[in-house]
Amino acid sequence: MPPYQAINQAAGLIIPEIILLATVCIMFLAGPFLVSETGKAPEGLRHRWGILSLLALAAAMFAWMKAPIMDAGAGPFRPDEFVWFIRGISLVFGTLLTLVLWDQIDDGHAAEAYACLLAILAGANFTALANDLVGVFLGLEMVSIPTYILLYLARRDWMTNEATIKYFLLSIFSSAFVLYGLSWVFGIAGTTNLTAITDRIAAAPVTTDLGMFRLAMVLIIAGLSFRITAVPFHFYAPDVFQGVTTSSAAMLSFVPKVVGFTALLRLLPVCFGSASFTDWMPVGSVRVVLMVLAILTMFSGNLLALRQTSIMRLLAYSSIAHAGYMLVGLTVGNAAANSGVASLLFYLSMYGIMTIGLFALITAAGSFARPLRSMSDLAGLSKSHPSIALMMAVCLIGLSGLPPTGGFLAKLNLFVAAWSEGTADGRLLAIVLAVNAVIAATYYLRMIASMYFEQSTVVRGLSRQPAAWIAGCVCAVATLALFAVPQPLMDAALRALSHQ
Amino acid sequence: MIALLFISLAIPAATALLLMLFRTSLNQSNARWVACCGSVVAMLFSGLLLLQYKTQFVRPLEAGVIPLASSVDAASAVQPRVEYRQPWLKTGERMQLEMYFGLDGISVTMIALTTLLTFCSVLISWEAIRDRASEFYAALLILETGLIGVFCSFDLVLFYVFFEMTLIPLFFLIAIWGGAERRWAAIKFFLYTLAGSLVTLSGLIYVVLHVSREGLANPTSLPALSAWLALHPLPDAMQLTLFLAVAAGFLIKVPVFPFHTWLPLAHVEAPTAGSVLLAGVLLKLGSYGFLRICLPLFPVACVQTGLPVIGLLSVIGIIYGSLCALAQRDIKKLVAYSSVAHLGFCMLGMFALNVEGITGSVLQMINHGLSTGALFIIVGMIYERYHTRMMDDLSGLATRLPMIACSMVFISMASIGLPGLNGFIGEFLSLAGMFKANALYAALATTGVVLGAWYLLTAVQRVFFGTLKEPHQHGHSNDEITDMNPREFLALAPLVVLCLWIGVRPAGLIDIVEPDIKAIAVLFESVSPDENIAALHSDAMYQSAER
Repeated sequence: MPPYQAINQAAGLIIPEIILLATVCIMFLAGPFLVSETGKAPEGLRHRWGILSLLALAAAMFAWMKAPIMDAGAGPFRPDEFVWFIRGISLVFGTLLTLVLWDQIDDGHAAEAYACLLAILAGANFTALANDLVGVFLGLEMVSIPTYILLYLARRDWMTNEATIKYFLLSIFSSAFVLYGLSWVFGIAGTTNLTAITDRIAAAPVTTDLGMFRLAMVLIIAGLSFRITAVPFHFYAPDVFQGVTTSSAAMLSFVPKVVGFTALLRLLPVCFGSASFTDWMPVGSVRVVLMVLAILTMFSGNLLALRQTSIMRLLAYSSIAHAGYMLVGLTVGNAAANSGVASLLFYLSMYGIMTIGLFALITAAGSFARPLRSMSDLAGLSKSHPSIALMMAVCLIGLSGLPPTGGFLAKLNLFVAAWSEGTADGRLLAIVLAVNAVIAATYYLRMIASMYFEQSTVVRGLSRQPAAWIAGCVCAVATLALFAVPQPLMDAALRALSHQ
Repeated sequence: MIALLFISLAIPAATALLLMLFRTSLNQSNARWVACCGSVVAMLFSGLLLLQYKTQFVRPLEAGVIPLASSVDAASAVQPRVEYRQPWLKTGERMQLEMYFGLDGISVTMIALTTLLTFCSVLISWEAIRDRASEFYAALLILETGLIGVFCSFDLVLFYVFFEMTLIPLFFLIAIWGGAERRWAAIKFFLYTLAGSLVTLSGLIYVVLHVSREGLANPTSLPALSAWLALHPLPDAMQLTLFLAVAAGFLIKVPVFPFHTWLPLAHVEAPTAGSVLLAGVLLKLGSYGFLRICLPLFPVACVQTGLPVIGLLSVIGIIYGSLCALAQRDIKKLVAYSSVAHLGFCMLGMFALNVEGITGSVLQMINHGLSTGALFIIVGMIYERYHTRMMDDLSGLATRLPMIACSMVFISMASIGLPGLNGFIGEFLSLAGMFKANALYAALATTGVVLGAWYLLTAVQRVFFGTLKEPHQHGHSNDEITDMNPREFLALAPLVVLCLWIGVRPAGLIDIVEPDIKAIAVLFESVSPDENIAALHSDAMYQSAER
């Protein structure tokens, strides 16, 4: 096949990403020309850029619906069912994140901010699409690098500077870990193509006991644990969440987790020589590592969240705890009758809905000049913003895993998956999950309590952030709707794992 | 009939939604009228449901035919007569959750009790709730929806969902409209019951997964699960562990003796309507859970551990609760502790594990709902008038409030268990059942009846009789205080009438619940052989009770 034809063919598989990246290029190129040299922009420019990115997302979604689904091949991309699912997540939640970003950015920097967000989403898709170690790494970097810019763009005080630098340094450090781990995998298998690696490792099953294999696994898991904020790679999260704007925190609480779990799900089965997810589960030392990570992450996240007084720090620890719940699904794997990985994907989507909804509503309740920061800012919210308080309560109840919300079913699935595995490890994980659900209920309840039962101490100006309000409303409704009709999402998650 | 059930489930939910949506445009008086209409309509529909159930399923019983819902195995200990099933969530091959709603005699009576008490709660909050009225009524009606949902769900996970769903509105009811210590009371109530019910959920999921591994296709369906376990019983050790796990949440909810500490606090701090529903229906979720889940699924553990251990705890609860009630100076706290004692009788009857005992237990659930609900309403009326619940501040109110005093005496008699009123039937049957199972427990528990008479009569005597003593009121004189008004009369009258009606003619109620109780009690006949004789005798005894 001549090279141009191979490129042509490969490009046909990534039309949604091409649409996103083309929009990114337009924004980066055109953006600076619409802003004066002093950084002044015409009033309302951000609305135009916002609408453009929504249009790009809509076009990408259309292409996503039409995109072909095929199994593993030799090419650089493999758009299988799993990719379909991850693309769906990134595009749907990307739309919500665009709405949250809407009023959190000034007109002068809107073009770059939206462009970064779209690039991050495309990067998440590429991580799933890649059929090559280098491709996976490039996907990860395509998420990280725009993130640094996005964090810095929205706000320029010393807290944001500190947060961005902290994120930047730790992120490149973790990328180096991943890259080093990937190079060991390359050393073992002698190729970077994922399909070929699978075949070679499957042909020589002893490799899983090799020291160098273990080293590779530990490096990859450690590097990616940074993305999913697993303990002990979580230290940056509270500081960064607190420093950046609410919209950036919303993005950080969700997208890196999608990317991290996508990469883990792409790389781990391959390194075990397993051609499909269908009967894959982590074994041996990798399982022990994942299990310890899961338990540590759940307990640390929840216990540290208990004493927080800043909303953003609390939500950072809560997002750490949720990463722990999801790690339970990964540890269980896909071998049991109730798939842990399908539960993980279900949970990931539910978590996205609830957490982005919560951040969107926090954004909507504050103003750009005075965002909601500490728990005392929540006091009396039910009087000043009754609809926002109600929807926030729905999201919080969902995050604590209580019915009638989709969050309950998501936790139930993980619990059942861990328990049905039938081993002592699985049961331990299930019990730790249940115990943590109670601990977590305490601080979510405290947030609801201060919204509803405390008198307001601050005079709140009326803020108008309709876009974030709409995003929050969609999320709150979806949290309830997915309780009543969860089957389509579960089917999608199961289908994503059906073959590779 | 299932349509009627859905209507009575949907009306409170729809009314609550309406109240929340138009919260800003509804003032106190509009909101309470909307809530009142919603609760009346729900009550009428559930009454209709009860009547239709009675005509359709109680009459054929005399001819010896018990129709069951199409998919239910006749060997099952849980037998809905009507059902509605809809697939909900299927994860993998083993877990198939269903929206499985059904009705049997016990659920249909409990639903009627729930809607009646909600109606009374709305009436009793009429003047008392001024702040955020529409939110208050919305929470009350969501609570009603959850409660009705628990009583009609026959899928284990769906049951749990509604069971948990009731926590959230009650949390708000206590924490927003409660007394001085409301926040702590609400959080303690919430976390205590949540922790217990998560253990229950773990136990239930263990059973479900275990059974599905053995080959049952739809293990979360309660009738299918109980029929399957009747044929393939679990090993004894496993039954014991699972019984304890599943019982954890229910023990806290009832509450059985050492787990009752959340109850007095929650009751005292809750607004009157919250207390009425908490005592009247919410506590019954625990005993209902025992009846629906623990007894059918773990019969061996119930006999080996449930009877001696929970029986003993119930006896302790009866005596301890009564003594605590005796020591109280706050009337509301007194009524709260009397609940611990009365629910002790309920659990004692249930773990007698025979037809009389369980029948007594079910009657006790309903009776306690009626009479303790009424007691809380009366306490609320006194509090609304004098802003105190301390018995030391009040005396001789009968001259000022003759109607309230009269109904208080009547309800106290019903609660004490005076023959001819409802309390007697329930306590008598529970004790009679327990005498067969363990005479010592029954004898000890009988002292609870005496103590019950002691504390309630003392309270009545101190508050309503003697020389008139009223607390000093700021701003207006005590002469302005009036007796029961028509609204309060309307809230209390149905409860009083039902107390009397169940007391003189319990057969009407027993006929509805009996087939379901027999289906459960059959499980224990093989364990204690003299149960067959008991079953023969029990019919004669109902007639004597009727007289």
